[in-house]
Amino acid sequence: MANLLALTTGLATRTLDRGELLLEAGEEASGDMYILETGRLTVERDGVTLATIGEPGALIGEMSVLLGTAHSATVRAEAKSTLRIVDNAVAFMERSPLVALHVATLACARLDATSALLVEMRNQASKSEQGMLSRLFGALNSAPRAAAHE
Amino acid sequence: MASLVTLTYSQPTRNLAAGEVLVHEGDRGGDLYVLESGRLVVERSGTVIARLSEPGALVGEMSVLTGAPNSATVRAEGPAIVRVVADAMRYINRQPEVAVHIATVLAQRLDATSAVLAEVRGEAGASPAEQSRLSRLVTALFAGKSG
Repeated sequence: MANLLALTTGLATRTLDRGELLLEAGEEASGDMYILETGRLTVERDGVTLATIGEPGALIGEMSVLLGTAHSATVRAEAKSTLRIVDNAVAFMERSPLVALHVATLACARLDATSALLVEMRNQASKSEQGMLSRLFGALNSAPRAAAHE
Repeated sequence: MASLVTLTYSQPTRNLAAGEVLVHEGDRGGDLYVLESGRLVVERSGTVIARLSEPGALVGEMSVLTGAPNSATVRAEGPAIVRVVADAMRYINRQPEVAVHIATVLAQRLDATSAVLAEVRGEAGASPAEQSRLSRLVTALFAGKSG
C-alpha cells in the first residue's frame, strides 16, 4: 500500500516552529486531518507525553475526524515541522478509498499491537491485575456505536 | 453515513450453527464478515477476548487491512447469520464509504481503550511493575508497536 504522502500530493501544507501547537486537547473537531511531512511532534494528554511522532506519513487528528469528538490530546512541534492539511477529511476519504483504507490500516495496527500485548500480559498477570486487563479487553473489543457523522 | 448492514445489503449471507467456527486463528484472511444476527465469540490464543452481538459488528477486518493471517478464532455461540464480503480489499476499494466506516469502528475501539488506560493510570496504588505494563500498553496503542 502506498504511503499516505504519495496519496495526498498537492494538498496545502502548514509549517510549525519548534514549540508551536498543532492541536489542543479539548478543542472542537475542525474536520481536518494532518499528515507529517518532516519534523517531529509530541502527543500529550494531561501533561504527560504519550508518544513522539517523527515518521513521515504519520497521521494526526484522524480520531477526532472519524469520531466527530473534541481532540483528546495536545499535539506540539518538538522541532520545526511541516504537515500536509487534509481539509474536510471525511469527504476527502469518501472520494479517495486508498486514503480511507490507509487510515483504517493504521488504526488496525494500533489495535493489533495492543491486543497482542494484552494477551501476553493476561497470561502472566497476577489475580489483582486480571480485572484491569479485562476492562482493557472489553474496551478494545467494544461493539460499534453510532458514529457522530452518520 | 449508512450502517454497515445497509452498505453490504447485496452481499450473500452465511448461516452458522451453534459452535460453528467462522474464522480460525492463523488462517489466511482476506474476507470480511458483517454480523446480521446472533452472537459470536472471539478467542485469541485460547482466551476469550470478546463477544459480538451488535448487528453491524465486523469480523476479519484486521486481516483484510493488514494482510496478516487471522489473529483470532471466531465461533458462533448460538445460531448466527453473517453477511459475507469475499475478497474484501477489492470490494472496499470500490466502496470508500465502507472504508471510512471501518476506520470509524476501529477509531471507536482505540478511543474506548485509550479512555480506560487513562482511567487505570490515574487510579492510585498501581505498583511500579503495573505502571511499566501500562506504559507499554500506551506505546502499543499510540504507536502500533508492541516492543
